Amino acid sequence: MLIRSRRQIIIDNIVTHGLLIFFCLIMIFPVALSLMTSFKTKTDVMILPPRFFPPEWTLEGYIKVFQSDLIPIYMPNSAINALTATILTVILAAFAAYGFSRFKFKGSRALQLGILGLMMIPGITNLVSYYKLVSQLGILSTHLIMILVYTGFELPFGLLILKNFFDAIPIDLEEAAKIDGCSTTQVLWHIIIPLSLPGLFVAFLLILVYLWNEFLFAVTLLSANEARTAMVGLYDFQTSFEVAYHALSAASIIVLLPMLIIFILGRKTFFRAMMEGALKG
Amino acid sequence: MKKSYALTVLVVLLLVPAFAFAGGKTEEPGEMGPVIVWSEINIKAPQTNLDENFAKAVEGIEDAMGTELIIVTTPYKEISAKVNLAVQAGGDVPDIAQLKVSKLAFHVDNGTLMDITKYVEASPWYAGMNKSALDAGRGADGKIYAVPFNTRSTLTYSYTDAFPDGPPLTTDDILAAGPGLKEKGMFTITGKASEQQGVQVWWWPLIRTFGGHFADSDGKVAWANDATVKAIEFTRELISKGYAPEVILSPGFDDEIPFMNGDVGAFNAGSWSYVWLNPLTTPSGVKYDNKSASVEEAIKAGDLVLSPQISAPGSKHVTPLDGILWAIPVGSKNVEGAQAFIDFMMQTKVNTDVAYAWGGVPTIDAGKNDPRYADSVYWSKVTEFMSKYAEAMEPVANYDEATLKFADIAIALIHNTGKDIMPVLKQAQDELNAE
Amino acid sequence: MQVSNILMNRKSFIWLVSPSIIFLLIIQIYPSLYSFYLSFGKIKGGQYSFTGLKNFTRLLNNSDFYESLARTGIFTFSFLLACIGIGLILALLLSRCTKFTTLYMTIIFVPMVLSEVVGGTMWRWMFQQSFGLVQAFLNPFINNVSILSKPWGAMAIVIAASVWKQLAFTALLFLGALQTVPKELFEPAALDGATRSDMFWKITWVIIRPTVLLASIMTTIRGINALGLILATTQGGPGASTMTEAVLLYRTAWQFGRFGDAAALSVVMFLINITLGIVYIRLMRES
Repeated sequence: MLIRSRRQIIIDNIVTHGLLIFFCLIMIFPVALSLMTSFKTKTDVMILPPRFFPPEWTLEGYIKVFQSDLIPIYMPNSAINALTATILTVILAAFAAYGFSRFKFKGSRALQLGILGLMMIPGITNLVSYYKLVSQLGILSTHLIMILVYTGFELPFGLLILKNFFDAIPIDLEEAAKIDGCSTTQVLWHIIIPLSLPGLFVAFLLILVYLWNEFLFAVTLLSANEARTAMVGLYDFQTSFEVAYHALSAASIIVLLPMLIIFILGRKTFFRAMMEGALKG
Repeated sequence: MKKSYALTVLVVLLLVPAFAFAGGKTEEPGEMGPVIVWSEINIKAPQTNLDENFAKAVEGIEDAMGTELIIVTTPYKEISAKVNLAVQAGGDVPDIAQLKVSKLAFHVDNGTLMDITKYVEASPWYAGMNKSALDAGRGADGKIYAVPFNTRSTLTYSYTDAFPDGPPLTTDDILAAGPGLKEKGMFTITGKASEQQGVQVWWWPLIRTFGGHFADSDGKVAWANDATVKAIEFTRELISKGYAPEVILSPGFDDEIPFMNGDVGAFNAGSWSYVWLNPLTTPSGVKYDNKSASVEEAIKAGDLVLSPQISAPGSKHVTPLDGILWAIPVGSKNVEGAQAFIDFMMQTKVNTDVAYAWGGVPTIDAGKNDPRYADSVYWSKVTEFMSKYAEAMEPVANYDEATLKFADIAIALIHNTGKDIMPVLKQAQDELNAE
Repeated sequence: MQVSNILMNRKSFIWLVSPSIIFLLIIQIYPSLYSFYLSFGKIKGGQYSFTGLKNFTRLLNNSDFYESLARTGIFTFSFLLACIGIGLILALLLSRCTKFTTLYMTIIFVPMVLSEVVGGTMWRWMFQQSFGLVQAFLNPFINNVSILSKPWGAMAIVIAASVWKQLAFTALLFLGALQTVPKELFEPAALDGATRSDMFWKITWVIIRPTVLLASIMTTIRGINALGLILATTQGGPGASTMTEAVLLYRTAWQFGRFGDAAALSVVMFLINITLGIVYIRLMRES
């Protein structure tokens, strides 16, 4: 054991927790400020000197948001696009990652690096190409287009995470199952998937959060009111010369909530899996 | 066998998108479909004052057009880029796009918009339309590509507290008032000098009043001239001596706020700025808080004065003519419906209501007789200044790039006070014109 | 290597992998090839015309390109240093506490869950000249200078906002790595009278170095391509002071509608990304 006095340990603890609380305050401050703004009135947002707490608590901003299309239309759209694409990505990536993890052949590493290399293409590069592709397929402004594009976009990342997880699972179990006559699909379904649930969850959460928040492709590829996503819908609260800051803040908080809830519910699994090495290279 | 299987899969995969790229679109003939409009407006679930007023103004439009109207609410900054992408990449093109006058040259140059000269000249509202406003819808070739439905310009708002002997009219007036106001802890002038909007409302009028040009008649930038140098030197002096708040160089519209708080004497405002300036507090502490009527009330009380945008000493005032227009993009599936939409929007009453909602001036001349314009001190001044001083900016084909570039270098030159101005202007100009 | 192939034959492998490959071919590779083709021409009025290497020569003769490159360097380097440095400190602190660890981590993770559009708006609002709470708080110390209006200030805010958003990720990676450091190693060292910093550099650092390198690759690539947060906070301004290569690409493609030029810039950025990726992979193999 390290030889340290009781006093030293207590001081260490105070310093550690003190610093961590300080960090947490900084990290949460912008979000807290936004939360406070969402409870202000339109005019209280602009008073001098600025104040953190609302001088008068009101739900004005939230009422405006509830009257808008954000909750009945845009958020369900975002949910459909992001959830479907995430699930599809995780399934496809799990198959491929398992394949790459268990079947060795010459050129396997090169192929994997090639797939990872796709992540190096800057995001906007393919704006025109995507637009052209999907408009000719006649699926512009449908959920399908976002789901396809998002899935293609996130596959390399999902593959990277899941292959690391599968590599960490010992192969003895599978060998035993194989000898008992199980097919590859059965092995994958009954052994690998249950063992790598935390990894699948990490991939699911990271991809879901990213896609839920995606803005650029949603604004480019979708041009129907019914198809608009929540991130694009935030622009309903601002026109070329008007920003309703209180409503915008309220909308931002509402849009954040679903992801925050999923994250908080799954936080223990997520942290454990991340630390066990979702990303080891 | 395995290899041939993989090869087949590969070939099929490559063919699918190849067909997709090559395949043409099918167009369905038949009765008139809906009219699709890309605009910043949201009439389905109005969020802002603009949305609400617009929705009121267009009541009954579907019956008049005889077909459904679909307004696709699009973030205002993205409309132009989306229309361009849709046309260039052959996607779903709207029947009507809401565009800014300043973007017209870009669209004409890229072949995004239909030539609608014949239709406009034959339309019932053509005779009543303001001719200089109509010109704002013409391309460099003289053809009409769009119908401006409201125009706007700039002017100066100033507080009588800060300028008791009358509003500042020239750059010299501003510099002369500077030290006195600074002593009182105030700035002399604010306004937007950043981004594209800043080029439109701050830089271009200064360059013109100093006797220069932003672009030549071929649509190529020609800003490397003495007038531009003077405009930048003037602004540099304002900032370095503390006569203007530095926020005039920031993105966004924060430049308005010090004026709203009474910390600045004069504001290089847009004709639409009154909508925003609320609540308004004069330097001596009088507060006006009546939504978009605050400015009008302050003028009537004698606390606020309107004057033309500042000019160079002994030179003519120049203010930018900007506006918003309806255009029909190439590839619209319902040209007939689009024209019915424009016809409806250009009726005197509707045109006036819509222009008023946007804080602009109607482009049908009869609209200016509407009491909202004729009886308002504010609007009668604005229309007076506009008819005397407003000029459309020289068309620039690569408008976005040119204006952004100019704002960038002007701001960098202001921050870098020691740097020689002309060589920087020249280099940027050459780079932009290099093809 | 051959041993594990008992588990799977070639046919199952192809079945498992081909759906992903199909997807990537259609959604990633085919459009990318089209973009590559675009980089050698331009589109006007919906028509493509081939212009050879013109887009590239114009790009390489453009001072914006080099200035943005320098800004990207400054941005990415500061972003990288802060993410790794602060992330490591956070991870060390977290690894030393026994209580509330999950609570702290959850709070630190909130910015990651937030969208870039929303996060950027929040930061802009904090530094708004009149109503920005942080700006108002700092005003007495900085002589009322509007931080967002200053080139250095805007760059600093953009970096801070990006670090704020990314920090939890690196911290968590490091925390994972720190837990693989065997505690037994410290005892003999402590008996030998090693100081804490000795122990960190001689034991901990050696073990976590591969993770640091991995986090560095990811952070660097993310820094070079960072876009959403910069657009939402400063839109590349004031002037061009926060216009990185990614913002320049966004402007060229989306705002100026110059798809050919944008494609050429994409190709150059892709090459930069790949080169850096290869350098890091080499470094990792060596360590």
